[in-house]
Amino acid sequence: MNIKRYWKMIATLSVIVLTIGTFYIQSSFAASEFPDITFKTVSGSEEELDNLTINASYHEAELYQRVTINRQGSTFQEQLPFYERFFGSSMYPEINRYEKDYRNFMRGKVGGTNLFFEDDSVLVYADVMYEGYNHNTRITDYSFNIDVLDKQAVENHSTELSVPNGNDYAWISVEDVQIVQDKLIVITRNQLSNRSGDEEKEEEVHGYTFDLETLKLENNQELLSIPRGDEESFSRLSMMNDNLNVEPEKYFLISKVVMEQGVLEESHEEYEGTEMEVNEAPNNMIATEQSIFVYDYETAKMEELNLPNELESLLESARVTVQNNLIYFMNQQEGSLEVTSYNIETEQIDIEQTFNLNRTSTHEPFIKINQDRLYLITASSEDIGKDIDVMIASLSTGELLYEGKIEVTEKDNSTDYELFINDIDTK
Amino acid sequence: MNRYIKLVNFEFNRFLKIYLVLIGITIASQILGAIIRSNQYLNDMNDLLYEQLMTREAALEQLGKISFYHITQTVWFMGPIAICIVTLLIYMFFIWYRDWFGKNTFIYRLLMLPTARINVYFAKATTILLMVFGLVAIQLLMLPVGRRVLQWMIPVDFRVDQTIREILTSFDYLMILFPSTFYEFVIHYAIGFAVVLVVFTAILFERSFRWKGIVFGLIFGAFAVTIFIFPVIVQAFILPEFFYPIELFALECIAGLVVVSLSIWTSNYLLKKKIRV
Repeated sequence: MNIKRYWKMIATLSVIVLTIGTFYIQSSFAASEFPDITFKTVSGSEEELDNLTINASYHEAELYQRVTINRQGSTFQEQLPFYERFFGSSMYPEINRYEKDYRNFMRGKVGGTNLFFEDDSVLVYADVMYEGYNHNTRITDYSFNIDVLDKQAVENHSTELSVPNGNDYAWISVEDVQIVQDKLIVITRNQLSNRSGDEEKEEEVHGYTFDLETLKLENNQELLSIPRGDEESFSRLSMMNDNLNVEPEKYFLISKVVMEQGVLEESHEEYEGTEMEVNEAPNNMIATEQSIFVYDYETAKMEELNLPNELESLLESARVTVQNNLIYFMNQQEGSLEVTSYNIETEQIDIEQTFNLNRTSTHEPFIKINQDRLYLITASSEDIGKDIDVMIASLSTGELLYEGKIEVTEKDNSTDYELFINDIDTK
Repeated sequence: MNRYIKLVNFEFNRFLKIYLVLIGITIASQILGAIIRSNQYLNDMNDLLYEQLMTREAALEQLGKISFYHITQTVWFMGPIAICIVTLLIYMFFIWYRDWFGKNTFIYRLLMLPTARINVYFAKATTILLMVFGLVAIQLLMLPVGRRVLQWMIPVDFRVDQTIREILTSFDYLMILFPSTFYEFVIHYAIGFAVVLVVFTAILFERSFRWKGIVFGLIFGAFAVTIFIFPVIVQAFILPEFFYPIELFALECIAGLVVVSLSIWTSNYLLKKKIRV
């Protein structure tokens, strides 16, 4: 082969290989130049961090990266193996685990952890699908899509059946799935449509009970409903259980708030004649009634909670979360967080603890309760995205078990970054 | 093999003049673009500082710092890329038709060479690929050049220096040319190469059956696209979310290989049995 005849082509080829090669070799090195993000312990036992994973966004110059931080260190999205990054993975770690362990069962199942239930023997998936408008029957149809996996036998049985009175609803969403003995219970929020002919109601909460063996619908219970809102008043429901929890639960809690037009202030003339969106609470709407309803899965009964006055007054300002038979009220004061828990069964206040936040002004802290542990992530509101504290405390004793900071070590020592917490996971 | 390399070299040299012009346009336009955009920024800044007598802070607040991003947004930067893409797209057809419609029907000699005719097809495809990668490489080299021009022209307090990586990630279109990992790079250009092979096969249909061949070619193209997107269609409509991402990826790779093999096999057949001179 005469090299002279080919020199132009060879030169081009060399330029290509060198340039593109260098670029991608450099890129692969660049991935290792991400900063190390670690927990810097101030006091307490580092073992407390074992269950904690923080999902955050890291921002520096033009770079936005998702990053997960745990005791072992940090993993940036770009440091993941190519195939995971190329397609992404579920945002729920629980679902990622199911996809690994029950690969075939999980095929075709999309959605969040609210659609799943898991105990030692079964994994259950239940969703309501919108089947569309049937032109022949002139009916909008929804169907339950239920699949139960027996973990020991590695067998599943599934069913698809129509939701009763599906035509009445504009939207149905599954809120929780539970198993009590041989019954499968699916809790849904059903938004009424204009077709329903029901002028009064806006939304219903339903408990559908199925036989676990036959998957036949045995009971359709309307647990709660709210009236259609207007300009004077409207109601709002919110589901209080942690929808990331797939494990067995005894109670399902719903909070109901009634908003009413307050005493109009002097500027009220401006409002007259203008139509107000019902969903947007105008400034002069005030909560006139706040209550919590508890559904007991075992007895299939719905009851309104009789909260002590001191807790009732907290309903408006505090964040509320449920774990087993305890309701936690978390009230943020200046520089501290008060946690009060109320036992549904004994109808007593269980614990009252105050945790010092060590700073007076913070962004809304991230709070997570898992068993006896309170996880608290607070970020400074002055030094945005840089100064982040991590606290882990025991709820029963009020003792501070771990205190630390999130430390970012830049490879080039720059401080031109911001770190924003998206959520925390304590599994 | 030797024949094939000779053919590639021949095809490559045949396009070299236009190719060098393309490279020249790219280099000139992008350097010029960097100068013009930087100048414009300096003028705007001077206007704020010396005509409107703003403080430096206020002026920076209003105008912002300049970065290479502002240069990639100009027609000076994007224009030559577009010209190169369009030229190569046209040349994808021209590389075949020039052999039929040139001064003397050169295809006659090409097909008479004492080598498998499919080598002609491979050589032309390789040439296109080589040209594409060459331009990609030049563009990659031009990024630090343009950035250096910016650094020469703008004082450090008024500019944001970006790494090559940041320049690329800040601009979606460049991410198609230079994806962030080598795997993705291979995937992007493998798909592009498959498209070239399918188009070549369609051209050979036309060259074999003329008017009727256009229809055959279009059918073949549609068929190839259908095969390639078939796994995605199954995933979206027939078995919703049935496959896991990695499985879908494997299926897509298989579908791509099927399309490529089918194109090569069909082209081989057409070149051997049906081609008209």
